[in-house]
Amino acid sequence: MNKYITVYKTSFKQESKTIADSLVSAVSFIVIIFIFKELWGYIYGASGFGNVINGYTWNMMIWYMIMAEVLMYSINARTITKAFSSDIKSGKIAYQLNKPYNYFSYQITNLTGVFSWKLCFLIPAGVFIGLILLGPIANFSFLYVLPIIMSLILAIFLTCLIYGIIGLLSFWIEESTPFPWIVQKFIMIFGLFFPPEFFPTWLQPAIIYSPIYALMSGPSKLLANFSWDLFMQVTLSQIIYIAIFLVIGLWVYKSGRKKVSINGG
Amino acid sequence: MAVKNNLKLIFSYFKLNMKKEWQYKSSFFMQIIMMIFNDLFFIIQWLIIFALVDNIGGYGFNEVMLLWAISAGGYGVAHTFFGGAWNIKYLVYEGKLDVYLTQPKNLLINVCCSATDVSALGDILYAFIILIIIGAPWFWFLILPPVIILVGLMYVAIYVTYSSLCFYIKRGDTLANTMEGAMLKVASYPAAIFSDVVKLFCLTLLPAFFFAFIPAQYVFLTFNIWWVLGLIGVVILWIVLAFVFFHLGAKKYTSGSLMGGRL
Repeated sequence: MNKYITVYKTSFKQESKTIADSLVSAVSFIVIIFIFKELWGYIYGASGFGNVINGYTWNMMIWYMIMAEVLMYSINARTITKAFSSDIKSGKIAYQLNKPYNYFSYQITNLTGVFSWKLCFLIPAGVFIGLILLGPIANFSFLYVLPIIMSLILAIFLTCLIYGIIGLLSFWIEESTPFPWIVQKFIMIFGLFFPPEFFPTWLQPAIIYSPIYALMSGPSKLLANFSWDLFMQVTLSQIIYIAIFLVIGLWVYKSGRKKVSINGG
Repeated sequence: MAVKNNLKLIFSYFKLNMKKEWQYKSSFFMQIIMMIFNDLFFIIQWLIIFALVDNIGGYGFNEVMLLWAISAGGYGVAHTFFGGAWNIKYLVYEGKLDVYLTQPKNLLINVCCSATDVSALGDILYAFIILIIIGAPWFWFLILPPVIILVGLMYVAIYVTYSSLCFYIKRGDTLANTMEGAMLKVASYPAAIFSDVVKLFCLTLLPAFFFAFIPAQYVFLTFNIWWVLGLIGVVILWIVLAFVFFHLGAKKYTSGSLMGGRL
């Protein structure tokens, strides 16, 4: 366990050298928040529902979107799947097999470290633009900051696990790149663009008990409407899904490893 | 004559790039089909939004889908025929532009056509699928190809213009990537949601409205010859800017005689 914590810390430190990239990503992030603010401003003004739609005020909705976009911008699905698929396709994975760590766990902690660094830019950028556009969040306390950050890091870890498993499919298929597009769109539609309450009642339980809730909707709701009950519910679902996907990932890696042929040299 | 030669070059590159991708047939089809599915997901987003409101600034579901068809088609044309434009930074920073400099073809066209993103074919198909979904009149199917070629050319030209910064500074592509991202995002939303200041910005420095909103509104919905001429003028202007900035930048280009080959 300690070696993976060291891997996480090292990649976090290493990524801190790429400040320019992180700043640019923050600019793009601000543009999208601005678009959503304008769009939802229009919808709230024109819908005839008044100030609240499906339990969300305009203010809560935009804070939800800010947090969801923080997660979306922190993680690059393509980087995760490519990290696995390029190692597998190029045969570089052969050099990793004799190292004193599990390759899958190593890559996941490494990538989680890389993406956690982005939070250091995106959270302040999100809070800054949120305060300018919307003003302070009602009933927010600084006590909530640590649980929210913890929830974001767990969400990043879970997302890395899911995309990592897709990357491992390169053991069997030629091109795994398009699969993350589809997974990403599921996450966007059922997690990023709308909170679960915006979907039909019959669909809401399926979303709340899905991994999308654990990695996107749940953590995003925490900033908009924090409660300790919600935090416990989100954390529990994150832990359960992390355990499930970790087991699946290790199993897929173990099966795929048998397909590696090494010629020596 | 020069136009004919350059068109011939563009189509020869297209054929070659497609042949290369065709080597991996399953991957070829999978990338296209998955891209279509990927794009189709956004329909759900707008179905949910239009369950809350009837229209956004006069734009209903069909009109918003038209915006998506044009922007996806333009994106598809750009990445299918001119995918090499997104490699400018590597060519400049790794000194790989030498290979292109020695060839008796226009440098920028040669660079832009040298690569293709096969999944972008899915975006072009998606544009037509959208027209089928919204039950578009038959002549829209005829108007769409020239429109997406126009906006696709403008999109590549904007990217090349801002990417030319790579000749002068490190990470010169960051501005290009930011502008590209902002343009694609803004273009797929109805113009009515933005304030006047943003609208001015989206008609000038970042012509996002010319990418989808202007063609949708003034070519398809309420034809207006002046806006159409304006659109053609803006596309030509950005193409000229791309050539000027890229060739000015190329004069600054230096490399260490890197030996390389193109397969």
